[in-house]
Amino acid sequence: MKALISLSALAILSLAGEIFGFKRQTNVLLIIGLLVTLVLNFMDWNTNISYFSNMMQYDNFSVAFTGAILLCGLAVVLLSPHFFKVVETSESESYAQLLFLMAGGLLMVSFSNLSMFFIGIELLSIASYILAGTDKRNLYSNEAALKYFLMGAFWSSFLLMGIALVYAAAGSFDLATIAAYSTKGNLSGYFYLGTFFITLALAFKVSAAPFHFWAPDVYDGSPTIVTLSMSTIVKIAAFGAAARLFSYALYPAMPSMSKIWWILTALTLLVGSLGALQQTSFKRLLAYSGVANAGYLLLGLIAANNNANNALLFYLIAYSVATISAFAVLLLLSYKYDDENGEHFKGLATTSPWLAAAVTVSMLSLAGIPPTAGFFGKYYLFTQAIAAGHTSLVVVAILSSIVSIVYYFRIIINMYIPDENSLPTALELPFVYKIVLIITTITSLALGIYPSVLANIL
Amino acid sequence: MLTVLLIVLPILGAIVAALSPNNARQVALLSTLAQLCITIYCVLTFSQNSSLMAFDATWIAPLGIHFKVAMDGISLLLVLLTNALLPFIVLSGSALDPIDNRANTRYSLILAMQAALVGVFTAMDGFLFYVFWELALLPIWLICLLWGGENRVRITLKFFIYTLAGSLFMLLGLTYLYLQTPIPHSFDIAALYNVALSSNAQSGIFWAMFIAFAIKIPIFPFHTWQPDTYTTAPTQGTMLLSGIMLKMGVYGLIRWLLPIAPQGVQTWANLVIVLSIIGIIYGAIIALQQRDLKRLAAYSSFSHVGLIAAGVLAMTTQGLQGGVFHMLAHGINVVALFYVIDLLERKTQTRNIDEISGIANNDREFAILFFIIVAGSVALPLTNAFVGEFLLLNSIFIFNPILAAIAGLTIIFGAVYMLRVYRSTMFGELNANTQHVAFVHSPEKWVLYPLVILILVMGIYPKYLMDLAQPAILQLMGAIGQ
Repeated sequence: MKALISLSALAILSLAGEIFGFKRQTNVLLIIGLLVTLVLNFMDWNTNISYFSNMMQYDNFSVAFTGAILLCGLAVVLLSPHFFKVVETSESESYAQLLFLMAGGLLMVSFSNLSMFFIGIELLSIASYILAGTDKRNLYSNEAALKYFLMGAFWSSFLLMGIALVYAAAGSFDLATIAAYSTKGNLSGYFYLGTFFITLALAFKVSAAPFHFWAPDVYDGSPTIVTLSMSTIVKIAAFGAAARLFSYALYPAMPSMSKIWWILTALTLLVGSLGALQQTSFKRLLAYSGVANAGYLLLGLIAANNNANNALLFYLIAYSVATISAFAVLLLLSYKYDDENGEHFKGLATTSPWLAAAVTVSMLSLAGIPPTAGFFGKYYLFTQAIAAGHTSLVVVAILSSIVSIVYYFRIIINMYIPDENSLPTALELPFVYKIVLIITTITSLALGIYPSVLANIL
Repeated sequence: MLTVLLIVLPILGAIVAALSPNNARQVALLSTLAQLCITIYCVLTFSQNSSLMAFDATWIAPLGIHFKVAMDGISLLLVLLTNALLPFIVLSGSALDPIDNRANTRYSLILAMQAALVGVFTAMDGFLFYVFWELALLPIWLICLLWGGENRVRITLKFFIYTLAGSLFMLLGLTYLYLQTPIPHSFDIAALYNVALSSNAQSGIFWAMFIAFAIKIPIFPFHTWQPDTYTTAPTQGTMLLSGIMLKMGVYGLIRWLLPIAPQGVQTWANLVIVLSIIGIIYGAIIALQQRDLKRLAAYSSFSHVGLIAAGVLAMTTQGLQGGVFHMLAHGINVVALFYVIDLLERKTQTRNIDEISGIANNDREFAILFFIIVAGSVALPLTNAFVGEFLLLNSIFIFNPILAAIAGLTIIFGAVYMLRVYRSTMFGELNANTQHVAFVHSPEKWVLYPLVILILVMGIYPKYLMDLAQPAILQLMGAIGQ
């Protein structure tokens, strides 16, 4: 709760920076502010207090997911200043939107009432629509914002309808009441229909196929720093919200929807990895990889229990850490070249061996090769899905992982097998980027070698 | 504790080697020799109750995953193989090093590979086994990618995806087993052995794990990655692959597949043994056609391991004894063979059999050494390969005499193509390529001598090594329930 107040205060502070002319210091203030927020957040560990007449329940689940959101937000803020030097956007507005987005995410992982859930998801969505369009003079950015907004608004209506239907059946927005109603058995059709609508809306939000068509275009069109926040913060928030909703309240409806989940998950896995196979742009590749990874994460939703939530959290962190690494290097490349073509990685190992090592660890983690966090994360999710009886889905996920080797390893091979004709000049590596890359790389390896630290915290 | 030391030491060696660009080979040699000394100490003090070599610590508590390593006779022999071959593999890089400015990376990767291999052979926890299994793949992939020959990108990617695909299904199988263990679930090997499976589940587990091992070994028709990879890999990579890495597959069969799904093996034994034997014949016939020495050796290796797989899958005591012993013998022989091929290629600039001839005229000593290696490859009595192949054929004979007769052809075919290679490269007139070839004073010979001595000693007195593995094999046969 303190984290929510702190985040909102920081958002207003960065707007005030624009008005009162301390724009330059905003970045540093935000870094300090976010660190403080992190501390405030973890002070709530094991307190489990409910707020606003039981609209929010700040339990360990919330603290853990919020912590992940805050850390990703911190990485985005750290990587931002260099980006804003290159792309002309309004800096303080972007920061403010980013913080509102995080506040929305926080609500999404700590709601205990469906209306709060909706407020959270809208707060997050509206901020991300705006952020997608912050590169005002870029056509693609405009397209991304519009596309995202129209699709988002459309699916929000489904979400609202679903919530209304669940209310019609259970007579309450409160998660505990809905859970009590739904475990009684003899559920009304409204409850199933409502759950179905909510599932569709969430599938859109997490870019699950066949509702993923917006994702590559929006991810690709948005300014890179925004794409980073969308593929980390938004993903954590959306999956956190879904996990909370299903494992706290709607789990009795899961068995009857298992066919739908099967199709959603299998399609997402295949579409994501096969789509990524075709990409030459690294940014688009990461967008499709985000879709494929949503597929793995969906495996963790089906089981809808506490262990699965933990597996979900682990994989979200592993995925976000690897993604931050990859985006940091993507940003560095985009400062030097105008496009985000994967070919720019050619020969990187010769000119910047440490940078190449960081990218290698990140790609290995995304591909799920030990000893990286991505491997254990995937494995953890697979175990949960098999335990819940979805072995066939795990087989699909394994096939998708095998395909994903091709495109992740293409990047590694490019770096280590240089183009004989043209050796790239070394990339300039600013200090903060170095720090972020060192931290993410070490985290990827440390969580892979000793996953116990995060494997059982919920 | 000693086992952990055997895993940690190469990792430390790898780090030091990576940080010393100028004398990485010396560092690597020192590290592998120290490793060999510890291994020999383990062999000498080995007894079945030796708790000195076991280590068990909780690794991932919530999932019941332990870092559990131990050595019984079977593991010990494979660890011995790994650690005995590694110094030779390190030494064989002496020619490549001066022109390679990334030699430190290469040695670092070789040592990392050693750590992972020892891990694979000693892991007594299913998850740990899988992790080491994958960790062994990364360094060898990088070695083949960075120092490989033509078409390396395509070939190594195929190799990686092939092997990873297999092992992911093995992980699926292991996870299924894990979830069948009593709560709290455990990956401990004893717990996995004790899982009672229905016959359908046995078949499922059998295929999930068999494909992983079959790709690694490789067994026909999962072998298509192998000849290209062997040929394109640098010699050190080929040695690691053929000498040690394919033993991971056979070891996997013996340690994990047979005891966990014996009924599954029985159900499918006919099919997979026939597949292995097809591989034996197929590999031999292709080897007969090859003019490229390295490709020939690759196919010959493919042919020989088919025999190991068939003998082991017949699930007899003789088969396991022969399989374990022949893994050692084959490892030594194939490393020696690839070393000779590399020497020939370096001195004559060609790998084509037709372009090399008459070397015996220049260097008789080398010709004799090479002859013993060839004799080992064709399993002549008194060489190490004879013991293993005999036991393996015996095992197949118990399973089905006709199949044994067909499998026995491997020895004849092997003699044909190996002796032909020997005749054409060593005898005849010297030609332009071999005019000045002589190895008399070259230090490389000092790599060949110990290998040749090993071939003979193991062939003349196999009992010592056989006795080491015997109790473990009997115990395993007990677990299989035969």
